[in-house]
Amino acid sequence: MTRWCVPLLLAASVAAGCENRYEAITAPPPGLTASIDDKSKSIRLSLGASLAFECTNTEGDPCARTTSTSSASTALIFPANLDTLTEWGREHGPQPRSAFVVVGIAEGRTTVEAGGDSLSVTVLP
Amino acid sequence: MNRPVLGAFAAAALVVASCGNGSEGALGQAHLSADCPSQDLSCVAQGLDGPLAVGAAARINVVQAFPGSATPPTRLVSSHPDVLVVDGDLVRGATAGRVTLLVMLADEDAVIDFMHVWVTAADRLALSAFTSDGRELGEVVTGAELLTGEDLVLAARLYGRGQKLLGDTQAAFAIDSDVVTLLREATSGRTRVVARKPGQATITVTAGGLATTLAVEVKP
Repeated sequence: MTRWCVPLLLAASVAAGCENRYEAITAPPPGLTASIDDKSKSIRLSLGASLAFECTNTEGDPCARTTSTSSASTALIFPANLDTLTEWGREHGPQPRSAFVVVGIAEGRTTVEAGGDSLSVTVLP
Repeated sequence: MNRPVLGAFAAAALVVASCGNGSEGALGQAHLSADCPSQDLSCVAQGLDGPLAVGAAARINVVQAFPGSATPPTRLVSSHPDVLVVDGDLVRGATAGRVTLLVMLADEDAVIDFMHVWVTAADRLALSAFTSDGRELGEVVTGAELLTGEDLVLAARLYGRGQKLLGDTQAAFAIDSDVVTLLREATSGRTRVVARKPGQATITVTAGGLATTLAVEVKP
């Protein structure tokens, strides 16, 4: 058992280390919810509310601008154009920031993909 | 430059500098305001400072500033078209609710900025008076007295739970005498009341299922 645990833990940590990092760049509107949890890769939104968040890879460089949603009737996601550069990048220097806007359309749960990783989205009433 | 003029100029500059040009979007890249007459600094500066009334429409002016770039072609998109209808730069409150108003590139599904907007049903109709150059003087609280030949510019304003709601209502103005004449302004949706001869008149205004009246006395 122990013999298998070590490689599994190593593989898990390597996989975890390769995940994108997501950070909110907008605050929720008054009385509503709009937040992202990078650790659990989850987003919570009130219906009608939106959240912008930035995505960087493990090297601090911007993620790809790819997006998709499993249920457009629950949540939409779009790439956002920001007019600023990343503060640092280990190999590539400052780059245009990669950001996304997720919009709560209807109460429910779905998943969205932003920059290559999946995020769960819960839209609250 | 004399002191009163200098003071007025400084006050106007302060209003613009401190309030910016409308409401700033969540990403800080666009400023949104109801389309205002250019000389109406308070209107331009106040931005979208309230919920939009159900049934009312507002023309949205979007100002963007990107270093090294002119403003690209953009479009407004409502997250919930059943609550907030977008037609070009005109938004209309359809039903009560909350939405995200997105400023997106015209030919690409990419967001430049966004703003949360509430749509609320009105429970009170009031009349606001304006100067002839478009500056709002405030809500009309008593009857009006005019001299023959004078005029008064009015606009219907909707309120919800005591809060002034945004948007031009399709208000209907009616009068019960020929003491005054009502003239609809072409660009603002406001109505000019022109005193024609001495006497009394009652102006009845209806909008959004609500009504209010204003007694006008024209003095010789």
